Amino acid sequence: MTTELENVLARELHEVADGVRVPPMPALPTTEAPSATRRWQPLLVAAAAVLIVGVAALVLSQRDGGSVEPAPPGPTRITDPAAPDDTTISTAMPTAPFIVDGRLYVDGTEVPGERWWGLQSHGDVWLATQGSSGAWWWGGPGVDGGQLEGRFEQPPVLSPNGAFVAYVDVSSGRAEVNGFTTDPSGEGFGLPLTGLPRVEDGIPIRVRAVTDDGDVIVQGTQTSIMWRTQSGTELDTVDLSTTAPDQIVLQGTAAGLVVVDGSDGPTDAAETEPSLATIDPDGTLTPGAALPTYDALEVNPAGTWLFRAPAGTLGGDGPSIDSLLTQPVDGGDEVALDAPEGWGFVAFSWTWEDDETVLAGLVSQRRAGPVEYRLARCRVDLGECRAIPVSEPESAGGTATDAPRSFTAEQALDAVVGAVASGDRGSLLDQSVIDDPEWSQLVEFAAGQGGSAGTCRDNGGGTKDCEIALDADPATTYYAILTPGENGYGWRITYVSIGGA
Amino acid sequence: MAFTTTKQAQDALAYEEYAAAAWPALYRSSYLLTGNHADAEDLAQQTLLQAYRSWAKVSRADQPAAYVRRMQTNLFISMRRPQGRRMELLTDVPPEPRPARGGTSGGQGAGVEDRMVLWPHIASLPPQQRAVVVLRYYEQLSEREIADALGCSTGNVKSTAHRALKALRAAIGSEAHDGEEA
Repeated sequence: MTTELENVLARELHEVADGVRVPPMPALPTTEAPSATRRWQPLLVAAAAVLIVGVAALVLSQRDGGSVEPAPPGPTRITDPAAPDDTTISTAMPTAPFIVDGRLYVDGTEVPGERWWGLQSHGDVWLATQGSSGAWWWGGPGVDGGQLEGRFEQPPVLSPNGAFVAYVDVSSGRAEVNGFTTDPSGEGFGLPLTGLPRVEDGIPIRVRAVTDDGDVIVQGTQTSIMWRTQSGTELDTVDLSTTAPDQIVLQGTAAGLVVVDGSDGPTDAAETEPSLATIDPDGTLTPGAALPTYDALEVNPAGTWLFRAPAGTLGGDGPSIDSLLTQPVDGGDEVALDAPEGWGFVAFSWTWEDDETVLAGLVSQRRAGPVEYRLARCRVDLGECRAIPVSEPESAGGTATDAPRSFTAEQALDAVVGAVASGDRGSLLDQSVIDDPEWSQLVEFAAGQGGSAGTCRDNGGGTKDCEIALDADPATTYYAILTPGENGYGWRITYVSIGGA
Repeated sequence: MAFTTTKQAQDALAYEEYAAAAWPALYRSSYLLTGNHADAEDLAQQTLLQAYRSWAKVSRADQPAAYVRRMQTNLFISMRRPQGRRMELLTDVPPEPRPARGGTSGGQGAGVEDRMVLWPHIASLPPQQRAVVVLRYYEQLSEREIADALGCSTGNVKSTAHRALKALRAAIGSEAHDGEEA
């Protein structure tokens, strides 16, 4: 049913649009071909175009003494990012904790167990759970770690610096807040904080954040307290409903707390604009930079960059997302980190490896065939991601030929032939699966048409000799030699030729 | 690489043709989203740049226009939300609806827009509501298509549109539209 209001709305929008005088299109990059992987070059060209059309330069605000400042005003502008010293993305096995296909790896070694998820990792300390057991494990440098004692309805929380873990334990039937320090000589917080309702309005209370000073923020729909576990006073708490009314803490980050104003409207970051904030020992919350809405957000250890899954992208049945958006915490250009073509980032599988690098699980998005999982390493300064091989524990330090290859040679070759048909090497899970001359040769053979990999035979030394059928010349058989390689496919095409050549 | 030179040149040409053809419509919808020429130009240009960066995907998409529209709306929302928040931080009162400046000098837009009932209030809508309004009532997209563009559910589109219309109704005075259901 259409209302008069809607009719007026449609009419006015069209009248406005029709009355708009469209300026000439500004100069856009054309000297280099479009590419899904060349992220900065067009921005550099466009920066000049922006100057030509007289757009004001972006003014970057500076953070002062660690306090959080509002993001700079004005629309996002195109800037010239500092050229990174290293323009390559390492394919080395990460030492930071990560999860791929339910397997947890710490320091390059698989942790026993399966169906791991919920990984939190800060300062080399990690926290994760398995399946639906509700049990949580943790570990860190110089400590044995192990399973957390207690029963948890909500995930325990790790502080941004990895120094503290806090949780709500309901094993006694009541809500008891407790936690511990994670250093090798660490100890518990002492007496648990009790007397809190386990559930408010049907929603369990939970630890929202633990600051780097060990202040634990616990909130429900009515409860809002901060427990100062390291103040030296037993059970030293601050009532945040008095000092910071209506402020909902969503998570702690190295850049500060992420909060939303709960006084009016939804209290989640997907619908209400969140912001950073600092909290004083007396519970005073000082708002800082605004943040974009999100479904998931992680800030790097230095508190300088964030990446996020935008609001609305992780809802529904979608277990993965095509792109993550990254930007400086204090404002600046937003850059998309795209998953390789045909792959998506597994929801909530991402973690910062260091201040510039993000690790994220990949899941195949083919409609047919088994679901496959990989690991991607993304550099925010390059705006690029690359699939990297994940070695089994016994071969973590081994050679390429030791590494497991979850792609068969036929599958790897088939993927390359598919990319050749579309002429898009960037669509490959890992472009290093084929050397430059071989890529060019195959493209020439394919002549813009498709094809498929044929059978492969052992060729000695772990290499494979494979046939290729190309639509451009069905009567001819082409060949490729594949050798084991440390890339997303586990194979590298080192030679292609035409039958009889 | 011999191949990439030829292929890149073809892609660049295809992209140039696409950008030139898409620019007017992209600019107009950007203007409706942002409400002013400076931001419209910025949004339209950044959308084309993003399309350029993802040209391999755009050109292979079943509906390139829908793909680019999604880029545009996501860019708009991500650009606008922090700004709105900043305005709230810097002022004690809600900002006045910013009257959209219609066509530039010599254009007819300014005068036409001054006489409009709803358009001045669209600027005060939150970004997502504004995007839904533009996609629904200007682009004439279905709820499914809007949901695809915004990366949300159709239920979310419905509720957002409902809130937008409610806000517009309130802005112009509910008495003027009582019993307006057709």
